[in-house]
Amino acid sequence: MKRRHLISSALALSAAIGLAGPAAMAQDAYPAEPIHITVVWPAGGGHDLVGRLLGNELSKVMDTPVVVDNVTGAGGTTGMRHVADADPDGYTIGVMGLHAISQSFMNANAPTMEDVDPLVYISDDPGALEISADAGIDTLEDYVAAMKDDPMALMNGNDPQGGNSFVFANVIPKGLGIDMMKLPYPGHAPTVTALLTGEVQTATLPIPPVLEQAKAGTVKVLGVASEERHPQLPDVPTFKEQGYDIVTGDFVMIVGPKGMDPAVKKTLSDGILAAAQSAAFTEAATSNGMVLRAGGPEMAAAELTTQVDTVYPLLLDAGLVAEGLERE
Amino acid sequence: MLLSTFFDTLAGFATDPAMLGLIAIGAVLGLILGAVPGISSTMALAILMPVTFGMEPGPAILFLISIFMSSVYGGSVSAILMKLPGTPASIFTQVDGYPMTQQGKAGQALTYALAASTIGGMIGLAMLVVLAPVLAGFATNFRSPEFAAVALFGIVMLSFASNGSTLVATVMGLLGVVLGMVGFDSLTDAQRLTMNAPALQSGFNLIPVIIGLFGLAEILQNLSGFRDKPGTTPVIGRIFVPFSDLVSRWKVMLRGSFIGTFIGAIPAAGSAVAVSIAYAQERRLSKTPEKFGEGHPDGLVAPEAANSASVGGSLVPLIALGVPGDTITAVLMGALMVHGLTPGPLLFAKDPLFVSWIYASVLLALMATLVFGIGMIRVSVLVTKIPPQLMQVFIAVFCVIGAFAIRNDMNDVYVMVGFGVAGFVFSRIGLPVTPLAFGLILGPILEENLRRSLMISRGSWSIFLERPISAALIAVCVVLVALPLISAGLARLRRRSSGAAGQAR
Repeated sequence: MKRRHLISSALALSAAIGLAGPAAMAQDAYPAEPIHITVVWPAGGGHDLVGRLLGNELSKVMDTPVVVDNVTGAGGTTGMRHVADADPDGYTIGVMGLHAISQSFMNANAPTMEDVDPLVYISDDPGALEISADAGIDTLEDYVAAMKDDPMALMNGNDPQGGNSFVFANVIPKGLGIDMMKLPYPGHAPTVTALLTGEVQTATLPIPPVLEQAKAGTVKVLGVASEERHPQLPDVPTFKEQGYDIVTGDFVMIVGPKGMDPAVKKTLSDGILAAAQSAAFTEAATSNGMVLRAGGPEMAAAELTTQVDTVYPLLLDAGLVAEGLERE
Repeated sequence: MLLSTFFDTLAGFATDPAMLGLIAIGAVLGLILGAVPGISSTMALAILMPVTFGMEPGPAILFLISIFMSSVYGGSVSAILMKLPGTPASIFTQVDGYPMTQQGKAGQALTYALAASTIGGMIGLAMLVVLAPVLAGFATNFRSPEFAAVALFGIVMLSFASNGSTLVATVMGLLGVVLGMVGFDSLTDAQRLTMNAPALQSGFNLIPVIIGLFGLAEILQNLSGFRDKPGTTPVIGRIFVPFSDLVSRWKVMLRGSFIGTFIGAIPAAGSAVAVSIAYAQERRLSKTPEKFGEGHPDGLVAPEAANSASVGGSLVPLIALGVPGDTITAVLMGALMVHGLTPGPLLFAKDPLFVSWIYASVLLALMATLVFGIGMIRVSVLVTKIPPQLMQVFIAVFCVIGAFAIRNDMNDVYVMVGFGVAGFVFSRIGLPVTPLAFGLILGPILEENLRRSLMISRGSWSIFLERPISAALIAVCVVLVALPLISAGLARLRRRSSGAAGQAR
């Protein structure tokens, strides 16, 4: 008797949940399900950390579970396509940076920037030029002199074509008026390792992966490619301060698929913005070397347009724009 | 000074019930997540990382490291019981572990794996504590030419890794190397062999390929056999291995552990390379190499010890240089950074307390894995009691989940099914699949580093001979290849010189 009671109440409960689910969704009580943040790089990278830190805060703000999905492969394209093709119901969003712009011009299978909807701008990630302490060069001036003397003297470690440090490795030497021998490494961690083992002498990584090395003095940052100095390295001058007009950088933003309901989009982007401005996220992200500059959908869209206009000529110049993907 | 801090920390952790509770929870979660195919140690850590956001740094490290350590062994459980590697590092565990399950020795296989895992972990940790600066120095000598030479060494060892013809094994290995080229080239991001299809652009990830080749192919084999006879459950023999049998394999465990620690300490080489080389090495040294692949405990013990020891090794670059050696330590580093503890080059000097935290956590996590692992063996061998008709369905479901979960990509499921069919056909016509897995692991490492070395030397191949470590590795490769030829030549000479042999012709 008791058992039958248990079973029937379990049935009633599951029926109630089954009915309540669709009903709740019909009453636009967004969010009623877990939100999925797509990270297009494997666990352990910078974007993954952003996704997990932000997701943790977002679940508090929105009062719903937030799941991070690492949808990786094909240079980030698989994950971007996953976001662009998702139902625009506000339950799938993605962490995106410069890589997606590069891929949209390099790979015909990648979604274009018109296929995604910018939601929240998170941070700037300025480019920089680092040199190993063992190289015995302390200033940008000495570096430029050495490279003008022998362009093969110092080798630079960077991403494969399309990655942010590859873009920096094109922009920075151009601004300095030198030639640079570029060695590709699959990712930032291997590049830092190569800098430490001495296989390369310089690198054009953004600040976060080299922050601790720079603080310890094993790696010296010769210049930062932003308007202002990096908050975590206030003693390192910008290129501009040293007389070279070089400003280039990656960025982190949150995007969703096109076609979201305006009300859902508003709730979602407000929630992400609140999470990005929360004390816990700000503290953890800043100590990791991120330069936070959070902003809503309008700002994110404007930044995206600017970035596309900046990156496209660089890719075209490097001969990386695939056939049929040229802009008019 | 570091040692006394280490013992103080250890005593602090070991006498605090809250800490012991955390270790226990971490170990159980790691064992379970590691055992689920497709959830690698990396993902287990990433999934549970947010749980630690609210903790103090000390307990958080302890919790994460116990997940890390226990998931390493957890990955072997599904490899042994279902022929499904739970993590990339357990791909060689199934080669001899699963046949033992089929012979009703699942409990023994798990015991061997757990013992090897614990011993390997201990040796890895001991070497980390005592030799971290030395190992770090060794690791920094590894540049692109050395990576290429290690990969070449592994590929040469490949010919010792499977039964039957060396030529066939080599061809299968090369097939693996070619399959590793599909997708985006890691140095130029150019597409290769993709035919511009999105499905091929992601390349062939190791896990779906392995799950297909081993797990699904096994199901297909069983299905084709079901027609004649109903499947039988293997009798569960004795669960635990006599202690003397474990002790008698101390040499195998030691060798596996040393290989694991050293290869783990090389940034970016990783545990999958360590287990491949440990397995091939053990088979080469074995007096009964033909028994490998049919349930030889040595073939299980060597990669397990190497796998667990590589954890200690992989912490070397993290602690001594402040760079993550592989993806697992990258997640660990990310978690530490969230807690405001950034492993950097000054860590040893600046923060011995933090370092001893890590050491103590690894030690306690190994203990917890051992304790809960023993408990789990009794439960998990019951899996083999499930009727095979049902079991096959479970495994098929796990194949799909595992292939999908690794990158959340449906294409990987199609890849898994394709390789399942291929694996079935290969075993029907007697082609070995282990060398293919070898090629897929080592090929991309060899190619990437070979090409980068040649970029550095501007096309000159002498770069591989000018650097001592790479020259030595290449010399070993040459000897390994030449030795059978020389001994065969000598034998022929001897035969020719003795007249009896001539008459026998």
